[in-house]
Amino acid sequence: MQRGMFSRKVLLSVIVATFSTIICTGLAWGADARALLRESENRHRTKTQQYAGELTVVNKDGKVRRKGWKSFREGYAGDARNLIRFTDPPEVKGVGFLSLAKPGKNPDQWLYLPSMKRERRIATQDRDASFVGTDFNYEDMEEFDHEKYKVALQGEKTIDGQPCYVIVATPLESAGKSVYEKKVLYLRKDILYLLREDLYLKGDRQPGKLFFLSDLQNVDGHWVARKWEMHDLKKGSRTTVLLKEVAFDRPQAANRFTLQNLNREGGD
Amino acid sequence: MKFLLRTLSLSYVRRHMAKTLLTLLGVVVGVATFSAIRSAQGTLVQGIRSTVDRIAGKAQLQITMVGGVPEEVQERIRELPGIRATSPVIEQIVVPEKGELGSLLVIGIDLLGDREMRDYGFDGQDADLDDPLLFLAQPDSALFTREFADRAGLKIGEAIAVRAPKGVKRVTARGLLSPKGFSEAFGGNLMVVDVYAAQELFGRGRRFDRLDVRLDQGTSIAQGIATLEQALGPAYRVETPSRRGEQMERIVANFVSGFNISSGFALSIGTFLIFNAFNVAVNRRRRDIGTLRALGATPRQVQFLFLAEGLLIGIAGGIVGCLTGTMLSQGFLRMMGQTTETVYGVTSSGTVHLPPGIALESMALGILASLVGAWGPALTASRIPPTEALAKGAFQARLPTRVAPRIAAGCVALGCAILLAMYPPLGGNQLILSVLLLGGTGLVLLVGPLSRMLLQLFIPLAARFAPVSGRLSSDALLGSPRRTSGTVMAMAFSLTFVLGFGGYMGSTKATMTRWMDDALTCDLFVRASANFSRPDFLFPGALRDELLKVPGVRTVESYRGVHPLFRGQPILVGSIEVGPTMDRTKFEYLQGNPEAMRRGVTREGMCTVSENFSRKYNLGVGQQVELVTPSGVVRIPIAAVLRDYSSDQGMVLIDRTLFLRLWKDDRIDIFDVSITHGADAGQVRNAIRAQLAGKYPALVSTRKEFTAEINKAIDAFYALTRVTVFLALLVAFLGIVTSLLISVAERTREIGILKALGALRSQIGRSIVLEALALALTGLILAIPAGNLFAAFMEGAIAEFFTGWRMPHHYPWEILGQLLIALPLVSAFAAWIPARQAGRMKITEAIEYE
Repeated sequence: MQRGMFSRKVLLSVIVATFSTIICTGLAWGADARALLRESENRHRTKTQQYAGELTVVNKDGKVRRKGWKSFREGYAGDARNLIRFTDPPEVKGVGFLSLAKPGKNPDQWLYLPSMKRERRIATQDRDASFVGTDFNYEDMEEFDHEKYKVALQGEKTIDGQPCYVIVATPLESAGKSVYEKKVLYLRKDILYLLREDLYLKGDRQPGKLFFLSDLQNVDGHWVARKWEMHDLKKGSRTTVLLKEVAFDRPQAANRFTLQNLNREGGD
Repeated sequence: MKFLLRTLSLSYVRRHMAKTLLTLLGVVVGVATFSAIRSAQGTLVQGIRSTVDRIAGKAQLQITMVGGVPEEVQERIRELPGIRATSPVIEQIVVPEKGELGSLLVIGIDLLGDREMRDYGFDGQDADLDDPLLFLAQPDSALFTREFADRAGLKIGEAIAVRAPKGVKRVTARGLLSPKGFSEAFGGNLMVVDVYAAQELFGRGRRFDRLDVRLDQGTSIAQGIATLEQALGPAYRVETPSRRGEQMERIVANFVSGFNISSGFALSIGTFLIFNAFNVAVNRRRRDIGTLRALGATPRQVQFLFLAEGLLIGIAGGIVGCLTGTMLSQGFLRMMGQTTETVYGVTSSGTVHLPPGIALESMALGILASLVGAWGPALTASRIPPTEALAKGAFQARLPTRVAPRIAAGCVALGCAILLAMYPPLGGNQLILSVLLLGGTGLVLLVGPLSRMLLQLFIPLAARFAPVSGRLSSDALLGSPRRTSGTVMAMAFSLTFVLGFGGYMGSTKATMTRWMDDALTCDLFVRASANFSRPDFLFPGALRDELLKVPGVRTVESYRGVHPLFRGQPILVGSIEVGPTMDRTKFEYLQGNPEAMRRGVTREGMCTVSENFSRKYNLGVGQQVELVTPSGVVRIPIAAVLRDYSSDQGMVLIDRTLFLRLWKDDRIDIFDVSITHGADAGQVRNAIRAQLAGKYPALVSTRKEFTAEINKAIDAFYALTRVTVFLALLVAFLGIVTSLLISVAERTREIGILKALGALRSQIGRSIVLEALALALTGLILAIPAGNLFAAFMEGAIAEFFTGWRMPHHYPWEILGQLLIALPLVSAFAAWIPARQAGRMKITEAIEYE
């Protein structure tokens, strides 16, 4: 009888210990993931960033479309304000895109079309629409803000010879609508720089898109990936952005990230 | 029965192939007209609905507002609970410069987010949209359906010229849509452009035609409507796409239902032809009938034999009629579509495929018409005693018995129809059907005796001009009373139809012309759109000041019309500077007077209503019109009831200041420009054109040109009616040819004897021509009073039922004049073949005949 009682106590203790271990480990990894992302943000946060981008879209049939843009950013992640102005080809020159982050919410985004001489607001419902025919959508054009995600460290993996943390980021309902079910982030261990994202669309079990950041260089004391590549696995197309003339922490014009400036013909 | 059909009927058909074919042709034309009109009607209505449905895509609700939905509304509703997506839409019809490609329905959508709403059918997401950024960045970008692009020989990157409100525009194909779902709308003649480019192109300002709304899963339509109505207020209409389709159908309902009368007439005229042909067949085959009866056939068997023949003719005529109708229907649809687009601004497109339901309906009516036509003669045949049937000539000359009761019954039926039309105890379709049925019955009963009376009067006259041929023709006509009355009946019916419809059309046009003379009194009209009901473009209100500065311009009034719902029906609310307009316009007051109108409308915020509005909604001076406006629900007192023909849906006229206050929309449809005394209208027009050139689309018309355009729209409205009138005349013409061919065949022996006795070929030919003339003129004489009554009924009760207007009576003298010239020619032409046949007859063969 006593032996029986003892056995049950041992069994109960083992179960409790196991569950506690799992929960604590989970919490610890979650906390680790958050800490890692926070640390990453701290390390790479810059006041401003600007570059000239060369955009190439290759569709599934191999047809290539090229565009050029200039990008300006002020702030970082949750407080980022971003202006993109297309410079090439002439037919699209002057088209502008403005994204203003809002803490805990979806950012406000506008597209300016010089031919119409007016901006148009990108609605939440349109966040999954292709950004001007690229494989990026409007949500992809936002700066990644880990505060809008529930994050968990999933493990480690080597990407391009670099050991990385693998973090699963699930969008929080309270932070606005997302087109993604989850994102799997690959953070380079040594410099905590993002090298890859696996993007799972709502309802999908396999990633619909893969985002690669490569050709890392240190500019003005900040790491930057000079090559971005988004693969749309469903459409079979890919979009590459090559970053040139990258500069950090340069002062930005006071009204650069405003609607008035967006609507200014040819204004950067 | 099979044996009888094979031996008796088939041998008759073989011997009289031409006559049988002509009888068949009567059914064919009747059924073809009916099925063509019905299937074109069906396709038009279905096209309207299917275009609405297909373009709606996954949208569950649509938000509209009189004058367009302001852009900011989209922002207001985006975050409402239960709203999954919203998408703005602008719709417009344009015509490619290559007119043969047909009208294009332009859909302006926001391509950034519209895929939530519509499936564009690109091959694999963006594959066919060559460069989405280019599409958005270049305002000349458009998507076309593959089918249209193939027809237009258009490839991606190539441009096509279309007539837009601001002139001819070249639009470039940036992508092609596969033919499925959305892109099948409007028969595939679709052009998709960016909604903001469409705003600019079609002068919508910062407004959309509507907002399409998709609801979250779990949100019901009722919940969605409630949420949106609460958020937007009463000025906005929130409805499902199918309800919107129904509304559009209702707008054209008056127009399409008018054709039911035409198609009904076509079939009834066909019935008389069959009646006539069978009457003659009974006459011709009386010896066969006698033999049959002598051999023991029962009267019922004889009756069934003729009915079976009628059935077979009905089936054959029905099949051929349906096939012919299918060929005609595409043309009918085009005419109907053009009219609904011009007059109502409602568009539809499609290819007519005879729906099985209409095919069956047309066949059944063809068979019914044949059986009804054959019923009387079949009954007569069954009642012929064998002795009488075998006696030569006895039946042929037999007069219909009991003429007096027939005349009395006819007079009673016709009298009842007239009384019913004058003092209607009921209304709507019931009244129309009752009057047409009673009037038709009266005419059927009276035509026989009256035509005989008229022909008896005609004999001495004919004999005076042509002693031999006149007597021969009158003998032939009076000797076969059944054939004669059948032909005259078909003739009288079709001419009644022609005179009735002609009178109605003439009355409408004369009334409109008079009204335009009184109401449209300014010198120049400056419009942005050729379409009266759905303007392509609206001018900004401030343009009035610019026009006033043009040398030679004295005054400018700004007219704006909107189409809100009143008691669930669309009406026209017109607005203008009423004071200055009254100074130059002669309004006809049914209630109220000029002083009350001026004071009430310009100073006290009252309105005037049109006669048809007042009648339709039973509202007059002292009562109020409750309108839903962007400022909320308002009740506007009525100051006067005017005679006005601006809209068949009824019009409410308010002062522009009140419109601006209630609708908060200063855009203008038409500027009414009056020029200074002594100024040259042509020069002022040129100056206005120069002033507006490059800035706005402007159609500047003089008064004469403007009224001519309205007249053109009225003519378009009646174009199809004219076709049906022509078809009715064709059926009547066939009736005369059939009747004369039968007459010649019947009198083969007589003609042979006459020739043997020395009658000349020309005398016989003339007698047949005279016979044709007598038939046509008798029909016309009978149709003159009948047509007059029918026209009066159309102008009164029918017009009021469909439009609320009562047109003053107008006798169609011009049509009568045309008929008096055309009928003798047509009759002589109809007599040509039978006369030739009679003239060529060999005496020996003719005498041996029978």
